[in-house]
Amino acid sequence: MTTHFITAEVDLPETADELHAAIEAELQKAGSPLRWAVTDVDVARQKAMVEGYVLVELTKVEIETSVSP
Amino acid sequence: MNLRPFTVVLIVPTGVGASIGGYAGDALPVARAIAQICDTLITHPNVLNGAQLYWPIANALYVEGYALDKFASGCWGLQPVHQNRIGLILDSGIEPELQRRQLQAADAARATLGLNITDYVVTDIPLKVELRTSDSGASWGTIANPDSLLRAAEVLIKKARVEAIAVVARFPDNEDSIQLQQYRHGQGVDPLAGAEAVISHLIVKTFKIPCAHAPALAPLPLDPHISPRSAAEEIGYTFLPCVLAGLSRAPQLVTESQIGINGELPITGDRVDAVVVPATACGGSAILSLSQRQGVKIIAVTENQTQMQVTPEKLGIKALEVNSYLEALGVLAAYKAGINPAALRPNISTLRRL
Repeated sequence: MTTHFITAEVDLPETADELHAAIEAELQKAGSPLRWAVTDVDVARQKAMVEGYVLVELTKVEIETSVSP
Repeated sequence: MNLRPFTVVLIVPTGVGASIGGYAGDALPVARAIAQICDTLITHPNVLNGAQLYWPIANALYVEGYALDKFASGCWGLQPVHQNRIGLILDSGIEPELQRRQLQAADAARATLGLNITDYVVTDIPLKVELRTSDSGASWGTIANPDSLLRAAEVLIKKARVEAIAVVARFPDNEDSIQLQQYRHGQGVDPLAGAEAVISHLIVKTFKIPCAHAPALAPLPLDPHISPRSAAEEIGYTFLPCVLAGLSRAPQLVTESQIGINGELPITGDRVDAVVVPATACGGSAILSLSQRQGVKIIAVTENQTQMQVTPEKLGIKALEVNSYLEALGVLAAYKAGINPAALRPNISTLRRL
């Protein structure tokens, strides 16, 4: 298992609930969300800036790759 | 008689340079004051941990950040306990003498406080803490060997049947870093906080068990200009006592499928009446979740400045902004009494016709 630092821009939806779901969905693309926060909001562009860590399980293939000579 | 317990969540996000609560447990006085007003206070280690200093608050629940996020989103409940059986994980990257200091702190907590700390495990390889500061100014960080941490936790849970886990990881000393100097002088961002949070999040996410972290660091040279807000971390060899005290009564975490199975109903997110948060740090998972719950009042404190720029308005969150925690305490007292805080001001608008 590895952890990865992620930054992302997420469209600002109507409600905070929708924003929560949108952030989780965006981070899921890189791994399992571990810890995140909106660190700024660009009101003009209606974007939320997000920073966080995701967890990535090493697959069998990746493990084999990492130990191969 | 009020049948609904007045429940308040106090959040001071970790590693964002909060001017109150961004240092060595220096939001603890805020927590103590709020606990006098509410029936149940739910807050997190960053608020309550002051290294060798802590204060037992009978009606406060010590909930790690990942668990708090899950609680806020309605996924997990909190089951109060009388005492947890605590296990300790020591990073094998800690030098033998510094490891001994941690073990002595644990023994002291057993003998002097009566805490039930039963076993410890040393990780099979060093965790290798990595620190980083992001573009936003927040401190982040992680460990290079999360699997080693999780293997140690699994041993404690399976072999020692512990109910809560304290972790001590070796952090880089960085004695001469500007960030550390600023932190010791009560300025800037805690450079360790982000990585600490990731460590405890890893265990809570994986095992759904209360967890908190204390860093192991070599003692720093005496500095006559230490800020009172940071001073709690200057008075001993370990930061572990507050973690052990907090974990000893941390509520157990009840997942959605377990709620109600044992007949006891845990505290769930729908019991929250109010949340108190710094006004510029409303972008965390717990706030986004709780702000959408019916009846939850968000109280945003502007005086507690942070490195973030995420106000309630920017996120479309309805909140009552107050200048200080003193004002927040008054607002909470009014809510608990069933009084609209606006009625305590000199000018009251006339009734609105729809």
